[in-house]
Amino acid sequence: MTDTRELVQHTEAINELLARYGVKFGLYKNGTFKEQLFPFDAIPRIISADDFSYLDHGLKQRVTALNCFISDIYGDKKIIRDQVVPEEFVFDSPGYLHQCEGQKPPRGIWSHISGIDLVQALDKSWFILEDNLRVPSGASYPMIARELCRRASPKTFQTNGVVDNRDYASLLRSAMDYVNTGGCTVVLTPGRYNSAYFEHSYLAEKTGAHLVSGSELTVEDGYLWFNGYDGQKEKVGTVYRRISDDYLDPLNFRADSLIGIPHLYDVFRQGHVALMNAPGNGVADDKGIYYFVPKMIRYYLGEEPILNNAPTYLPFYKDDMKYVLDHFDNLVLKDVAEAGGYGVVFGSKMTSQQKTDFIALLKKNPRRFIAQEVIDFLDLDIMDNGKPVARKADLRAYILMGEEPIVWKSGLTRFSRNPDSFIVNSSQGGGFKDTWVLSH
Amino acid sequence: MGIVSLINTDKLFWLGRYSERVYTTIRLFGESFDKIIDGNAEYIELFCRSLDIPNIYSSTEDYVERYLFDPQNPDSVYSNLTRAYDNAMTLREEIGSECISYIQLAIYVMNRHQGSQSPMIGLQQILDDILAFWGLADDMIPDENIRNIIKTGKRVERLDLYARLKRPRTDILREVSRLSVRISRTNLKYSSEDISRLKQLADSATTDYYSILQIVDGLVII
Amino acid sequence: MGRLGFLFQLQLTFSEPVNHHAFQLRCLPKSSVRQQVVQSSFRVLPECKTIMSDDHFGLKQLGSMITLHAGFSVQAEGIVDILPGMCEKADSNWKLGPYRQETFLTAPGFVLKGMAAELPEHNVPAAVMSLLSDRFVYAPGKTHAKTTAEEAAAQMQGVCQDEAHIMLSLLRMKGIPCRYIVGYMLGEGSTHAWVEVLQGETWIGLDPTNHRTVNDEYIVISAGRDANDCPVNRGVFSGAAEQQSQSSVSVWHIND
Repeated sequence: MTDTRELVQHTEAINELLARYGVKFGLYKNGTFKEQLFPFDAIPRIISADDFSYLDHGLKQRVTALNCFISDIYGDKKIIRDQVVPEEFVFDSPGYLHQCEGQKPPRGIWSHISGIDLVQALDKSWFILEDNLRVPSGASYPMIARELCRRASPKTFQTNGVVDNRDYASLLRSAMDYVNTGGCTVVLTPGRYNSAYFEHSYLAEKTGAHLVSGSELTVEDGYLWFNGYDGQKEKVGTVYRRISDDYLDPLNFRADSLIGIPHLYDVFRQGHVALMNAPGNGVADDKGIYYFVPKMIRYYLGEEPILNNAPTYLPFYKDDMKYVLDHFDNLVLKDVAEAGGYGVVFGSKMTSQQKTDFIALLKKNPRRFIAQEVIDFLDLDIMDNGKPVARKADLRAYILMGEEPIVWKSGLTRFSRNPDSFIVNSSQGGGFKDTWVLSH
Repeated sequence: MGIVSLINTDKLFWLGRYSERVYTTIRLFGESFDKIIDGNAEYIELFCRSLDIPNIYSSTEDYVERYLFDPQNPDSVYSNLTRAYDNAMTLREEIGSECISYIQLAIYVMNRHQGSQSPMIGLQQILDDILAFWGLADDMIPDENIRNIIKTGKRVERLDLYARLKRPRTDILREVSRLSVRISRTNLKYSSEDISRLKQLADSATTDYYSILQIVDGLVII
Repeated sequence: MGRLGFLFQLQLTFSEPVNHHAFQLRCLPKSSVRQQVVQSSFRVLPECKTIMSDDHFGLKQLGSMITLHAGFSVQAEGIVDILPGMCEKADSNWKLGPYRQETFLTAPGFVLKGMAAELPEHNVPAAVMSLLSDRFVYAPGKTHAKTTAEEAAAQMQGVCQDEAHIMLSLLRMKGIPCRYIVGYMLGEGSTHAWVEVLQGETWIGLDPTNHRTVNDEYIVISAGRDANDCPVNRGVFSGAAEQQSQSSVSVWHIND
């Protein structure tokens, strides 16, 4: 039996330490940039060794299939030939980039770091909520929180058999090195006014990479270079980029990007630098594509999915549309183009006018939405004024792809502080917990 | 060691300058505040004039509040500390989370002591934090060039302040000598003629503070 | 066999000198089943190193000029053999999804949907060509580079790019894969745009502006889903200068 009481007594001290190290996220409120502390709740999410082993298999399987899918889409497109995924869900998706047709990223890896969101239902079964393959963030928070929890309550970690999670930086570094085309490693950030800037700088520090903005990199002679102050330059072999595809390269993607590097994509396409994650991989984390992931697993791997999706309906299909209209009040509807907890609405919470408007929109543009059964979450306790109260929480698991996929033995558990809310995103006022994987 | 980009070189240098500015101006404030306690309000004017900043303060209370804690006042200690912080927090991979944490702590202290009746108590903690920052930077940053760029910034700022304050010749001589040793251990571009000239100026019987200021402020262009 | 010579010239003028000017130019043809590049050359002024690159859309020339300059000129020339009756083979049908999906520029609205409803079920490409030839007025200056197919269709005026976009939009509504082509044409003084339509297993070139099938007087430069995929010149530079651009193309027969 794990004992977290001693640790929880140190909640305030741990939060003070988090503040000391500037563990913050930024957000824009009414047009001005603000940095906020990310509230930490010391009661960990605890995953037993058996449970983790199950998640480990399921997540590796899922990420392997997603990688096959992306590779297939920009190559042979067999999954479309075999009518497993309809082409309109692929080529019409904002994550699909036609520029990436025929692209072969170093070592065939498209999603080096995947952040897969899961929830646990009342009966303890796990469901996949969404896949984040573009620039999933958040690993730095449990990483540093663990460091500080160990400092605050060493006894807790002496007795409980918690697997150390501070190996994330070395796992990440291995993934960086595995695809490196020969040169140094940089973390490319959009800048300090990005919500995840703390993470960018922390991961750069812990992996021994340079933290750079676009203006510090240039393309010359078909290679990417990191420029030093006095004219020295160093070839770059891996870019862990934390800016989105659209902004990577103003000559190949959005022309108005001021944070990108001209010709970067060409260097990548030539195989002269690794970009992680690879451009175009957003085609696989579209909320519409999510529906097809179990089918992908069967298709590419010939295996039954170990982890289930939350029951999902695609109004695009007539039968599903009928189901959605018949069971509207029991469903949660998600706009496939939105992220970060935006564009999520609950049928039961709409007024009748809102419902009418929404259904009209849904009928007009069925491809834009997915509908899911509302899962009865297994709530987690958080401390609220000294008393434990139950709140909604999810788990983001991180899977690093190198020679083999590796599931990090931890994860980011986010919770909603508002008792009525299902939305756990930090941008919507949530907090976070450490995630323990036990050695037994 | 590794390459440091132009942007980071600039930030390291200014981190050194602003941390020094906060440190030395707090000490100077302490000296002047001690005299003001006895009712010598004219020391506010003297203080401002010596640092070459406008005297915008209407009373002793106003001076304490706005010179120390006002984020809107560009000359306040708060503003200078914020500038040090802005540079520090973007240098995490160069100087490390431990170093940065002391600048972060100083910011928290500053915020906590807003409106304090006994400002020197909070300011002492800020001095402690800055000293800890410098000590840690010296101890933990493995890259000699990075360490020395921060220190060069600190030395440039110190000499700048001392020249403004018209400190005695011996102080100026010592600071010029420390600066010239430090800067030679960096990859910063500067003119060795400027350094020789500074040495001459510091050495001469009557100190030409104005010329020293001019040279020291143009010494490092990043 | 037709042998064509071509000369492409581009002149950029900046309202004030710029530097760190990175550019990408799609102005040289690539050899394919229908066209064989015999020779080609490319240069820019002021002189600057360039790299030839190849992507899904065609060939491109890449470079970065880091010194200050107020003008920039490009000259591309070469000789191409056009092989009679040859068409480029298309990918397998299931791979052509991108060319069946409407894009931002081709997405139909009320006007285009109305036009699509008038089209017959068979010989759709020919019907679209006649429809455009009957109703579309070639009128430079009425549209711009970012005009959508729907906007152009609403006024039924514009240039070759607009006709190509309207055609793509209509064909895609009918489920016919088609792509946007930029190239050079004998007798045309600037770059030209037309459409390739899947017929059987090949891409057939159709030129709605000139109401004819593409023949041995056309040189293909780049192919994509719409004009956004095939810009001749893309560049970024530092400085707030305004950029003016002038380009010209000439194509001539070469007799053996």
